[in-house]
Amino acid sequence: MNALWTAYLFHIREQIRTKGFRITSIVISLLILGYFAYNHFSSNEKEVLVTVINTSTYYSLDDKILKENIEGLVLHTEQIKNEEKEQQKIKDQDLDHLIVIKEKNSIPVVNYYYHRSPDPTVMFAFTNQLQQQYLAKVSTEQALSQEVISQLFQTIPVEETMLAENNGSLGIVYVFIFLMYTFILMFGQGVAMSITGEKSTRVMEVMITKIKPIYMLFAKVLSSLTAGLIQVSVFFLSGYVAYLIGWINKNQFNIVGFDFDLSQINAGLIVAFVFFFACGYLVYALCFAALGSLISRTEDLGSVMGPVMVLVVGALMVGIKTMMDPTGGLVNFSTYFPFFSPIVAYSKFVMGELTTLELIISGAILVTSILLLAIGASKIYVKGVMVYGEKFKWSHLSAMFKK
Amino acid sequence: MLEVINLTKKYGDKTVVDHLTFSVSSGEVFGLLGRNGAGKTTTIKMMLGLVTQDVGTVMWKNQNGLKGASFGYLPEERGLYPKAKVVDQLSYFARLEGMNKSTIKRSIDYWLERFDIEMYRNKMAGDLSKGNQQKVQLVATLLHNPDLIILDEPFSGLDPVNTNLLTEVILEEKQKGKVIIMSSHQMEQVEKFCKEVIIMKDGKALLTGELEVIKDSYGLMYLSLYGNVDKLKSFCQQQQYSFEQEEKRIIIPLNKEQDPLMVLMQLKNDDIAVSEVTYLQPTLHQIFVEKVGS
Repeated sequence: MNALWTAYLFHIREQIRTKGFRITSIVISLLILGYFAYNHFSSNEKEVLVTVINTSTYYSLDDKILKENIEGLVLHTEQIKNEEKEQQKIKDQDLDHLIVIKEKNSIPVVNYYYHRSPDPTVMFAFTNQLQQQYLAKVSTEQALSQEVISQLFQTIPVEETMLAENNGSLGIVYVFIFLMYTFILMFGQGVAMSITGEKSTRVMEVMITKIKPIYMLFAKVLSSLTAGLIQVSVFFLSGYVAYLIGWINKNQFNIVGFDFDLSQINAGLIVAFVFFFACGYLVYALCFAALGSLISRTEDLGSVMGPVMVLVVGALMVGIKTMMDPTGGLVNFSTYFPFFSPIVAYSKFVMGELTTLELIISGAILVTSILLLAIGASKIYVKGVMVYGEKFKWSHLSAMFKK
Repeated sequence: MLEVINLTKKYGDKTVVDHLTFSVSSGEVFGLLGRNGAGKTTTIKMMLGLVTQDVGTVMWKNQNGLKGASFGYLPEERGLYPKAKVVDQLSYFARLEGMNKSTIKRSIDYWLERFDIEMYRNKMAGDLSKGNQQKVQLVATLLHNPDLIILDEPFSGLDPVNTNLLTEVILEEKQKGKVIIMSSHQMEQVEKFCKEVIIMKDGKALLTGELEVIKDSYGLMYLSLYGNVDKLKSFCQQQQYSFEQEEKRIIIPLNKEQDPLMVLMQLKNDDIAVSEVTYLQPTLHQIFVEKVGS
């Protein structure tokens, strides 16, 4: 075990000292801080530029109400009927929206021009005012009583109640899926490359005379996991710094549109995060390590890693599916499938869709699978590291188990 | 004492090492010789447990295998982490050998200075020249003061100055009573310090034993004659002696029954002047080329 610790310390030191590791950490920090800074400053200054050309004689707009309904509204009313010039402004992105109000048979007609996507808030704010004026006009014309008019304008009360335990968890799930996927690709492949590199530089021949191959395998996998967790910490620390600076509004915090309820973060969530992150990483890192030991040149890595890469992408797809439908059939199966369960089970756990029993069964299958993978990877690794020159064939794998 | 008994390895139908047996005592350097592909490296790897033998045993101090042995192994190809500092990887290797911090520092300082590469201590191994990488590799092999030293082509990539330096180091280690096994193509170096050798061809031992005995039993001596080359050549052709020309020297191989004085008498009778005569034992190089050349 002393040799395992020595090898672990050497590899973690070497990983942390590399320029790549430091640059990645800096880039992560800058990206996180940059993202929140952009959101913070752009949201304060965001203006919605709208031009209105009103050719009707009856209908008019109340600027004050419009500004109450549209955040950041800068309203410009055109007196001249120069629609084409205003449309060109939208194409040039000098203007966000153009509302042209006309009147046909006393009914207001609205032409709404936008660049690529319509903004329902803008459209509703304008049409709502016109609708109300039209209703009032018709009511007056039809000589309806004040009581009837009041009833017609009665707003239907809607009381919203969310029955899922929380909805602010989607942001947490999104961050976890993103981190899991990125770090498996980055550090898992790093393990395979490092092992193949040791073989191609023949350092493996020296090392095997000094340390048991199984220790080398776990030293590499665990040091990469540690390096991964350090960079995850950098990720969260950068987010925390952004929070301390005041760039994160904890009441309206979202990640690319998914609500992130900071009040949900507690010890259980963090422990589960570390557990599923570590397990997910170990599942793939052990596969990458075993496959890396089978080939002698780093340029051959692509040919052996294909099947594992398919599983990684599959895990990402099922993870996204979990966010949309956490109780679907595929998602339920994936809760117990060890290559997908770290992402799926944690996502369901955060969303409150995983019972304690499901959590225990999923965790137990995952841990057992990791132990079995560790045994299998060790067998392949011990034999694989001394195989040079031969072109890899998948049939070699079964031969290694038989020997 | 190291004993290799009946070591055999097959890959499919091909026998790459065929019932190889030899032993090396303390304070001796053993030469493992043969052309490329003769089975030297496979033999070394079997001794180290890197390749599993089909038949045979390796004994170290009457124990099976090298598990309890303190040994240093210099592989044929460089085995260093190219992106790690020289001092870091040497410390790592030493720690894995069970050395403590202060001994590691002392030993690294000593060997880096001994091989004159102190200035590269904080360089990445991959940034060094091939020769300097070889010296770092030699330091890694020797820094934990192993009892058994296995060197696979140790002179590869070294210039003449460094070759002499390594020769000195090997002789020092020999003096300290280490068991040293060396595979090399540089016969001059092997002759300098190998008491016993094994010459391999296609996995088999063609010749094995003490170098002097091999030379004595080789059956040929060489008469080297310095003089008028044209006259000497026509003399050899007339007398039906086989010969080789090395610049202004004619070398005639003689078997044990052929008296060199007879040749000199014949030269005198033919009135051919010779200014220098040398009667030589065969060199290891000549034996090697003769035995495995074809």
